[in-house]
Amino acid sequence: MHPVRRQRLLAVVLLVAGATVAVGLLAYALRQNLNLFYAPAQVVAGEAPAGARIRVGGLVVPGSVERGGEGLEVRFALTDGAASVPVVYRGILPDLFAEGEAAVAAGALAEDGTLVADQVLAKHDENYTPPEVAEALKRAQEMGEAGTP
Amino acid sequence: MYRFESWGEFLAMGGHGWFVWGAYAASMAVFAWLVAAPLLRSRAILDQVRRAAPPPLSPTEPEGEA
Amino acid sequence: MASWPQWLHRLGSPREFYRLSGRALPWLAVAAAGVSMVGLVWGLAFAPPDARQGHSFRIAYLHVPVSFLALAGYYLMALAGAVGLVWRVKLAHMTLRAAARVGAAFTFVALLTGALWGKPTWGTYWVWDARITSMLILFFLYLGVIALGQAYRGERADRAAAVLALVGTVNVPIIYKSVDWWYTLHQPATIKLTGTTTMHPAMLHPLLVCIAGFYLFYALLLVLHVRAEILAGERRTRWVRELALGERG
Repeated sequence: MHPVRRQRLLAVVLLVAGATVAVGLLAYALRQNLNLFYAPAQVVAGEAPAGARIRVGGLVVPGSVERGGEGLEVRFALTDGAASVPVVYRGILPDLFAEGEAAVAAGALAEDGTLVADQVLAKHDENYTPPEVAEALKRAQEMGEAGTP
Repeated sequence: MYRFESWGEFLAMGGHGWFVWGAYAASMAVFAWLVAAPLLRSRAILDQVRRAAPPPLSPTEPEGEA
Repeated sequence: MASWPQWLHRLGSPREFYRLSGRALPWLAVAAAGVSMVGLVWGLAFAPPDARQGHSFRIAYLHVPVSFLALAGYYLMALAGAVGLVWRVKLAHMTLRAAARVGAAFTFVALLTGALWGKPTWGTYWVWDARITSMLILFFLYLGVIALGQAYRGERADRAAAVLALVGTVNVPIIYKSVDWWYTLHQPATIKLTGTTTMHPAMLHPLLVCIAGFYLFYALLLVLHVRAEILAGERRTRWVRELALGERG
């Protein structure tokens, strides 16, 4: 290769490498801030700031959803397997919100550790199945031993 | 294997028609523009070049060889 | 073996590229339109709905291929920039400008279809999670490359745009891995290069056809935009004048 071109190629490689290192360090420094939500275990461990608006994400604990008497109030718990956080929410839940499925709740933590949410989002997973197949899978699971969700 | 009973059901998309058809319509509009823009631009450039060019010596003019 | 640089040299000449691409264009257009239409109609009308999301999942047949190409197209643009910087090939800079326009539009469509899919499934049009935010940065990078290419004239603009395109390549793996590295609302990848794909075959097959169709469509758009760039860049040359006069002469 012509020496001038080799020099230019080297400059291009250095440019990309330099940018990669800089952005990599930046992302590493900000890694917690780049998370959309806290896991319930982090909230229970006190890592999430009290009073500030935070988001908590996890699976909706099966059997924990209670619809309150007054209006649209809903209570449920979010878990990551290690710990669970109780949530109170007043509003319309997204269609995909269901027990045993993932959800993200945004709001502030109350004194007693309950998240008073003003927004609840459903988080769906990367699995796509037709209704017939999902139905068959569910039946098969019910017939076998009780599987964990 | 057609999944819908009627055209109405197809358009309704199980209540999510606005989202599904909105996404498709908006995308098609962008794609149409992506196809049309370079074609119109090319034509405009060629028109401009043609206007700026000296008048051609047309071979169809009667002074040509018989 | 000895003849490849010459062949490459010929294709690298804008005039030769214009001539050869003109011949390929009708075939490419028919293939792109045919394959993507088959994929989209299959996905919209014949694929089963998702058990949980229902029919809104059909937006995936647009969202997934377009997002793929928004990312792959960025690499193509940066590669063109690198070739242009190192070898000073005019056609490479023209390709960079074309890829920036098509890529910006594809990224916009990816964000838009994502928002319209997010509302019925997640419950919100927009959320500042790592995937969506890094995708928005990709959109701004494309716009930046377009703007730099127009800010100056000639070689300086070409070089500035190529440098920005190269620096921005850092963002592409971040977008791709964001769903694994951070907690996001966006779900992780369904189609995996290694490991099992977590989509039922009846839903996956039309998606793969759509992806193939959109690759062809992207190629078609890129060729169309490169051809327009060639005419714009070479408008003062004799061959373009002959082409203009020959067209209706």
